[in-house]
Amino acid sequence: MSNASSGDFLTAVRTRLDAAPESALLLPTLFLLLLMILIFSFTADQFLSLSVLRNVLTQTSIYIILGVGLTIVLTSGEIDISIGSIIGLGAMILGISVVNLGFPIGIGLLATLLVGVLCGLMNGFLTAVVRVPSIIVTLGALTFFRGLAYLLGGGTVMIGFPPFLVWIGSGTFIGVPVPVWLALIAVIFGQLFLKSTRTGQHIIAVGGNAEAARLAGINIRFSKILAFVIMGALAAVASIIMVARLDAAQSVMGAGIELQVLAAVVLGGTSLFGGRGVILGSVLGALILSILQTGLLLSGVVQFWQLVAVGALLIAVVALRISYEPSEVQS
Amino acid sequence: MPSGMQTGADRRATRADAGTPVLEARNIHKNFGGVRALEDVSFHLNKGEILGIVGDNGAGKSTLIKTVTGAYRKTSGEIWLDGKHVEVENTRKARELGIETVYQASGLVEVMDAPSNLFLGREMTRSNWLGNALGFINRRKMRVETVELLKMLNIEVRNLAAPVRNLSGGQQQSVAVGRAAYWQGKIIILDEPANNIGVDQQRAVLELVERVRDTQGVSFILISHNMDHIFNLADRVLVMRNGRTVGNLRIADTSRAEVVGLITGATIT
Amino acid sequence: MTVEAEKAVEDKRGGIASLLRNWLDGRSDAASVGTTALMLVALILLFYSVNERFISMRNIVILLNQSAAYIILGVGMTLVIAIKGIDLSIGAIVAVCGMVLGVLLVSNDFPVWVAISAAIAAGAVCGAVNAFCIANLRVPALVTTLGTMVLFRGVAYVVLEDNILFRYPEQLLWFARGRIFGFAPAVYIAAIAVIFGFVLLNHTRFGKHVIAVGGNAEAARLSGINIRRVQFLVFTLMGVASSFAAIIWVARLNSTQASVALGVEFHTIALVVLGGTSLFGGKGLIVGSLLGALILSVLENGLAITGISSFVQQTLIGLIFITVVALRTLQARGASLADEPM
Ligand SMILES: Nc1ncnc2c1ncn2[C@@H]1O[C@H](COP(=O)(O)OP(=O)(O)OP(=O)(O)O)[C@@H](O)[C@H]1O
Ligand SMILES: [Mg+2]
Repeated sequence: MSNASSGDFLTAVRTRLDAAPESALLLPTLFLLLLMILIFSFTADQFLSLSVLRNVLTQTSIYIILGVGLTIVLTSGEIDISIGSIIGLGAMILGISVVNLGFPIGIGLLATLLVGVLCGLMNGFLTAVVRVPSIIVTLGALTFFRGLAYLLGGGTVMIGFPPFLVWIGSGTFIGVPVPVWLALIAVIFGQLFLKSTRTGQHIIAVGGNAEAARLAGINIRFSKILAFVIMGALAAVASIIMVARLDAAQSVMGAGIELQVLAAVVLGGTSLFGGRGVILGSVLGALILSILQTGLLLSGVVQFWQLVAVGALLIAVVALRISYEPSEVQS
Repeated sequence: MPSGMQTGADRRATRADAGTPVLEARNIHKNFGGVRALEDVSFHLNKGEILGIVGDNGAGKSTLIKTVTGAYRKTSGEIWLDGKHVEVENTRKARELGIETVYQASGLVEVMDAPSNLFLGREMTRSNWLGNALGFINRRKMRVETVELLKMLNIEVRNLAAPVRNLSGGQQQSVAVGRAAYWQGKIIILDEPANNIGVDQQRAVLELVERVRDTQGVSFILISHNMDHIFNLADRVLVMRNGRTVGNLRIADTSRAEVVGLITGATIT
Repeated sequence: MTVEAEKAVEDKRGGIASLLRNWLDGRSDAASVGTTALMLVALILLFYSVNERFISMRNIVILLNQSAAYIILGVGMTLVIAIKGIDLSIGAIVAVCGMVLGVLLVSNDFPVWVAISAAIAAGAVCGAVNAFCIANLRVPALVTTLGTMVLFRGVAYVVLEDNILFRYPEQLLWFARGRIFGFAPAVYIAAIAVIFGFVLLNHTRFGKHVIAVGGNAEAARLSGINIRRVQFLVFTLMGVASSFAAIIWVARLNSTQASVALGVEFHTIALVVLGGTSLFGGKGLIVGSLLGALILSVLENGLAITGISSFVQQTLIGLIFITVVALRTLQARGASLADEPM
């Protein structure tokens, strides 16, 4: 008896959760974030200092920008694990055009963005038109783009960027670091695009039920390709910030970042199976992730443990989410 | 002249004999790779008529309407609307031409709410420049329209913000049928609208069909396995077997036994 | 007159055409494997025309030795992909097993058989961790193994840090450097793995269950197959296969570090797909994967002989992979692409 009623209760809770607006989804993430800040403010002395905070924010900006893109891709029912390699390739384009060939910085930035868009276009085309599963496409692209990056730049480090780029990386505007502004723009764009435009709405529909979307006259190919293109462009922006922060470009840049970004996005409540994207959740997830990393570092934990922590956190969060949310369970 | 004095049978007979058909499909063929799903299927639909399509599982009913409405590319054949030859390249085109379809299953995006589903693919945008240039949707207006429509059609949905997954099967089906009615198509096609739902809700959906026909003068195609529904509602019935039409009969002139015989192949035409 | 009669006539007319279409469609397994074999032969001839030494006993021995680890990983991955799963953590599992070997044999003086048993156990445990998350916690395989990829690699780094362990005992090196009838023992292990995988997949009940789970999980469940058990076993087997690959790897390089086998998951998935195993589950071609592994080794070996830089190699292999997958998918879906206008 008690078993049945507790089962009923659980079902009721799940139904409520299911119907809940996104703000409710954000609450557990927010709670986790506060908890983490609390813990690290005890274990690490300088944790709450201004300089650390600023560093965290700048690092987070990169995660946030990539997170917005990946949220859109996941919402469309696909995945992109090639973003780290797009960053590496973008960095090489920026380095070669500005440092080696001496083009003005504006042209370098445009070229980097263009390459990001082309990378996204390729991923999107193979996924939406040829219909290879996106995990396989982007796994191949991960190797291919990284190979191109090495081919272009070899193992060298390109340095000597103009001051404007350095300003993008470490300058401020009205007292706030420039990368944070860029992240803010990305978030506002992502939120408006996904929630308030027809195209965004179509991406949600395609991820939620591709066949229903098709029968309703929505262009699935366009929606998916657009999602990948946005991801590619945002990865290019992230690569620009990375190069700008270090004032150097290298082929290995961005290697392995896809995992961190995926962890951030999934932490934020975006569904892995499409149809639900929580941009603001991804922002919180990105904050959690970089606070975890900085906190562990400042608490004197060996750097390698961070890898273990991030991997475990990702699996734990998804496992929890799956056991509490019916929508996460696929047949 | 619509007259209350006419008997049901008379009215049906008139509708079944009306002039130029609103929709006509001629010699439709459809192959999936080597599989022939449709072979030389032709039918017509008159104005204000309800055409039933029956046939066993796999007879090709769903394939027929998907081919006619542009969800599948047809292998060969022609579609005529109001006496004009048209190309229906995709479902968007079908809707532009005034054909609204409730496909068998997977008509709704389960994770989205009722208003979003009602306007799926045809979202309302803000009237200011933002809405025009960037396609900003007008959620409030869509919501108001949805409430009105649901009230008009007597469909009860308590929480409009909930994803339709949380609605009952019948409510979902009502939303799907309501969507077809909302867009005021000249032709509404329903593929097993009463499937998988309870008796009460079945009746509600079918009443909805009659109400829409009577108030808006729409022509219907109704696919069903339920002979009661067909014989209560339809004016004419198209019988399919193995991808071919084996009968095209006025309800007034036929019997259940004959139709069932055609479906199973017991009678030879 | 009748529909059936007409169909029969039509079928006869289209007989040869439809046979050809079927062959092209890659629907029949034999055709798939045949295509892969043709690709292999073409590649071998290509490299032979560039450099005659490519087909020499010496190079063949080297080539097979290089491909042994790929073949073993490929057999495991074929099963994983056949149940519609994916495992991105195998490179990290190889690192963990390598770490176990290094700690026991280089940092300490354990007997080789103890170290090997411990490495295999470590691989099985890693595989079981994946299996538990996927089968019991129902975390998608992609996310699980993306997480454990970092987690296992992190464990290897925590223990080894940036050190490189080398000078392994002769008995371990024997696996790659010894010779039985002219070939390294590693090659025989790979051969056994292929036979084991082939029999398991094609001639046992378990193999039938694997195909059923990958083809239609819901139908498999309804017909009484224990899906979780199948998933658990397959992912654990993948872990064990990774440990064998690690032993061969360490023996060949005579060294271990935490970053060993980085990115090998990509090569393994690539070779399985090259071999014709469907990415949509429900089909597994062990022989195809064997050929795929050989293609990969021939590519690497051949490109190295022609003196192309490793950067170009990586780019080329990525490009070839994407092209082949795209072509295979187009073939398999050709019909349905034409059916559904956008
Ligand atoms: N996308 C497709 N690809 C290949 N064959 C298909 C496809 N869709 C339908 N078919 C085949 O076409 C035939 C007709 O199917 P259809 O769905 O039209 O039947 P139906 O009359 O609607 O049956 P039901 O009453 O079960 O809905 C079947 O043999 C089916 O297997
Ligand atoms: Mg049907």
